[in-house]
Amino acid sequence: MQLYLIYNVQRVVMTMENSLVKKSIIKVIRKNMGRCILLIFAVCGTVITSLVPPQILKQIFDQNLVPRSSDGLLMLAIAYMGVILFIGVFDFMKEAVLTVLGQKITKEIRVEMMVKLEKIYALFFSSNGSGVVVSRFTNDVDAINSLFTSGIVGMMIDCLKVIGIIFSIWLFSETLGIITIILLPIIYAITRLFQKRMLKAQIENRILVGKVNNHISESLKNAQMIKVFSKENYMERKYTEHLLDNYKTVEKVNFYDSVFPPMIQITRAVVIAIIVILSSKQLNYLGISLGMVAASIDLISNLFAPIENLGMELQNIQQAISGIHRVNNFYSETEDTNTIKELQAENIIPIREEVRLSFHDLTFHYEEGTDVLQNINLIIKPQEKVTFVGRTGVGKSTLFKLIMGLLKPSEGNITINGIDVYNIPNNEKRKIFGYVDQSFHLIKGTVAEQISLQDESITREQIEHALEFVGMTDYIASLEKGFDTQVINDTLFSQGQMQLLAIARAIVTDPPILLLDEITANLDSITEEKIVTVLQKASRAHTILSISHRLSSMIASDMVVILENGRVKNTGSPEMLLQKDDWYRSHLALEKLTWS
Amino acid sequence: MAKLKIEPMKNPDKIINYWKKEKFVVACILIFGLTFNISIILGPIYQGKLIDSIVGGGSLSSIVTLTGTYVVLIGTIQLLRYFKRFYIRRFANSTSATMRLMIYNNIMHKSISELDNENTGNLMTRAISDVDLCVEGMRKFTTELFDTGVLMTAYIISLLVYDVKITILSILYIPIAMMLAEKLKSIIYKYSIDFRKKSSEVASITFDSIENAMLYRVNGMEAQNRAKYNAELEDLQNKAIKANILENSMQPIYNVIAMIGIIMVIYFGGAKVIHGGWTIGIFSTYITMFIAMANKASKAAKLFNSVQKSQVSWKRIKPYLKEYENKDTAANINKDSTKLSVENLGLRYAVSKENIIENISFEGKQGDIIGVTGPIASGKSTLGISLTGLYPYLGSIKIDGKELTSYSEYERSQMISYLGHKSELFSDTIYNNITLGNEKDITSVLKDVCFDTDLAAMPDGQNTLVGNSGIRLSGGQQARISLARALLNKNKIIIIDDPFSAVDMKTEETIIENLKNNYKHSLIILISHRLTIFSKISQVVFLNNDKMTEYGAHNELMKTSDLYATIFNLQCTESGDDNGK
Repeated sequence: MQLYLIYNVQRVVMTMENSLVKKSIIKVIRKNMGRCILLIFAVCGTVITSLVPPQILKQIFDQNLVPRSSDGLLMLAIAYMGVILFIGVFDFMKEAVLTVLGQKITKEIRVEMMVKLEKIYALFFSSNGSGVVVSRFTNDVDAINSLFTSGIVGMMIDCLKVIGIIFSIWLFSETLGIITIILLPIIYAITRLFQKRMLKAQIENRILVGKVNNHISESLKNAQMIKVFSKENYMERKYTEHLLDNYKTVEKVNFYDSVFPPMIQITRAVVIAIIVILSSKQLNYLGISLGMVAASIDLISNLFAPIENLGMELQNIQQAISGIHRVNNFYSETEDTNTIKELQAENIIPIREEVRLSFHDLTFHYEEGTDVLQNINLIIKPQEKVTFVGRTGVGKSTLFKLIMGLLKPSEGNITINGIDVYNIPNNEKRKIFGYVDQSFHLIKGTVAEQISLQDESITREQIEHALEFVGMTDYIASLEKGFDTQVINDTLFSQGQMQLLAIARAIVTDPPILLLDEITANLDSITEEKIVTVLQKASRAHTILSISHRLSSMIASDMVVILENGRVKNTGSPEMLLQKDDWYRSHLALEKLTWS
Repeated sequence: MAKLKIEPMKNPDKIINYWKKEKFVVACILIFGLTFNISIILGPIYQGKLIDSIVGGGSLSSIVTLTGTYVVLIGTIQLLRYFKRFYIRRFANSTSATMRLMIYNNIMHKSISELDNENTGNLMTRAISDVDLCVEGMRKFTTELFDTGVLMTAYIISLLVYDVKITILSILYIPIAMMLAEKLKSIIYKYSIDFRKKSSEVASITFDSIENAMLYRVNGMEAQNRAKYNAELEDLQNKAIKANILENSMQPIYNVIAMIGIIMVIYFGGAKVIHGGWTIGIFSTYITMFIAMANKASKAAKLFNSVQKSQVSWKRIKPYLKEYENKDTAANINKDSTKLSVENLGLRYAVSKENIIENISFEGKQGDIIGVTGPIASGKSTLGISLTGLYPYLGSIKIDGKELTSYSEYERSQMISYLGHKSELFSDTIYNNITLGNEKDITSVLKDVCFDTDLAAMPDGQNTLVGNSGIRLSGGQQARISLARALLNKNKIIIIDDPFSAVDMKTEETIIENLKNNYKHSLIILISHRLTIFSKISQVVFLNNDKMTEYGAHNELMKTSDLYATIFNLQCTESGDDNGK
């Protein structure tokens, strides 16, 4: 049993090596020393007091029942009850403290996970579904909580009880003590066998639960499409497939869960039978009194109770170990490492008219061997208007993510006034970059919060100004609660209006660099022209980088960068390119043809 | 063996039906539960006999026989126990799967406007953790019905048989413990509701943080969001402590109360042994049974709580447990020709005060491409979506002379395909994303959307996984996959809402050309703000901001609508300007 305990604790410790879970647990323990001491006190109390009742029973048998004397019987009866009371009180204390500590640990883990999420490398989000990540925060952390409350601590208590019981039996008879000790490896073997099988099934199950969750989240996201195509049945069929896989693994877990306790009970019966035979008057092998036999049976029964609990706790622990694995895997995801906290927007760009953006031998690939961008070298002068053109999939949007330091270049770097953008802390970025995406992401909150993203440092005036800037003031005033209208779904705004909101969101902090990723794609000509006028008005003190799949960009560019196969094919002013670049000239002609 | 089917059920909103549904499993639970819990009293009885056999000093062989019987007996009882446990767990497993299926079915068959008002995080909690909690409660209830109900009855009867007076005196305290537990129930219930509510709120915040992680990152909002998240977690933690502490910690106290009777048992029972009324073995049997019973009684409180807790979850999921719905897939549609006539069409969303579009009329037939355009917020997309019939509309939309609303949802989906500006891809293969279970060859449709060259560069071809929401593809690739999905069935009416924003001009032109050539039996409605291609299509619906609609061929509109002509010329000169630079 000790071996088993050591093994299991080792496992947990190993799993937690340098891990988030370990860190959080230690932190909570440090902060709650008083509670921890109380817990230890309660645990010791529970273990020791629970050994007393069999001893009292032995007294009753040997002092009163066998010699048929009622001396002190009432006292013993009351003492017995008194001990039960103490056990209850210690138990209560233990449970209460455990609950508090367990919840604190749960909270701490979630806090740490959020810290991690903040640092995690941007590519993580492309390869992991939101549903799956959410279930790290919810299901897996809950499982870890049960590891602490009903898992590890429960297991330690049960192991201590086992030790205490063996000790008590040993006092009655060494032989019986040895028999009990021989018993332990047998139970260890059984438990170990179940542990292996169950852990496998549990891990399988967790993965499947993640799949089920992700399916629900995707179904909700794409509900409209599913309706239009009448694909409810198809989606349900896929869902049922996931559910069925899940069902099968749970069935496996259930088998082990059901068979374990009965096996323990049968073993107990065999042990009791052996003790009785050995203590019979003919053999009298153990040399113990009847009271001792009765107490031993009681103790042995008490011995199996914790072992049976261990079976249950095992399940919790295993569930939690796979949870810990997954939380720790999350924790060991690649981070953005180069952030230099001291960097501040004001220091990087002391004068907003002077922003020098340079690309030095920039190469980027998502997967080794397939470079999305190769050896990009560019110098963008202060307040220059640059348009990147090229076929879809040529890596323009990736380039923007690199400019904002969201992705780490595979080779080379991008600098602003000599500072590597990848080193800039995220919370400084809004003061430097205004980014308008191809699509607008609504967040939970009011109209005003769509613009500020609940950034408390952004004033109401700034928001109003930004919305005025994009010409949305009138429309928003027409809404029931104006700026404070809750945006619950995307029917409140048209596609074009959402694009205007995205622009307002980007310019609300008046950043010196604007990144416009196909912003005119969803706008009609009139709005488009309005926005261009507006942006041009604002362009005086802005470096503007825009992406366009069309050569005739809406914003007059000082420089056009043509990307092809991940490389800069040509750069220059539109006039120069028209003269020197055949591709540019022919495609412009083609565009013109299609357009006229 | 395992039932390898998860099937819908009838009347899923009555909890009793989940037991009724699993007839075989419940019968097994009943048989094994009853036999196990009744026969379990034989354990302590035989244990007493064993002790008496030592005292009595009978022959070794009689002791061996007795112990042998004891072991066989326990073996049988425990075998019954195994079956009971297993079937109860299977019941929970299938119930959970059925509930999940029914909730999913319900969500999927909600109307789109109902879904718009649902909170995704909330639905996720409901579909996942509430089902777990509810089923856990149902499982515990089923277990305890036997383990507490039947078992305690069996114990009480045997205790009474041994001695009526001692039994009555000693078990008096057990109901007190149970009553206390019952009293605390309502408090726990209240805390539990608070906790669940908060938990679902936090889940929805977590979802928002993860779903919009990149947005928050670009804007440097992560730190501030985290601070708020921490405050929410603190609140959640306190609510969780309140809810759990009463539930988990009170059991030892109930146990102490239930055990008070042990004084009577030891004192009067001991006296009875001393006066020869009982053997020592009976005393031991009696004490074992009493302790086991008191223990069970104190756990009964836990039963109330878990049942109560599962009631909270049950209440939350119940609205989603409705009759199983299955779309009627009978389709009575005219496949030979297509005629669409729209008259005085209007539409508004529930949240806004006024109609987004009003009085729109136009007509079209197979082979036509109708362009829809207009300034920002003029309702182009709304017009597109209203033609799918998903939202209630004003006026009339007739297909082949029959009103759109009088077609079933399935018939509509067989007539109309729609592509919105969101790509709406699943984390599955390209093939599955396009066919959605409709096993068809997609080579030609991929060619129509100019994806053949993209595909050639993918080592897994049509089986390439697109990633979550298609993240592994570029925006243009995502749009074209979605377009291919909309084109696959060559439906009578194909509505395309601006799919080309992330597609370059040359590709766009090729795709339009392919649509014209290969979809002659379809009526295509193309929503766009780029008028350039409109000169090549049949009719144009031009929506104005003032809700006036102009309708006609491109050339007519150029003459009759100043605005249309202005926009068109603007778009043309714009490229001319660039040319001049």
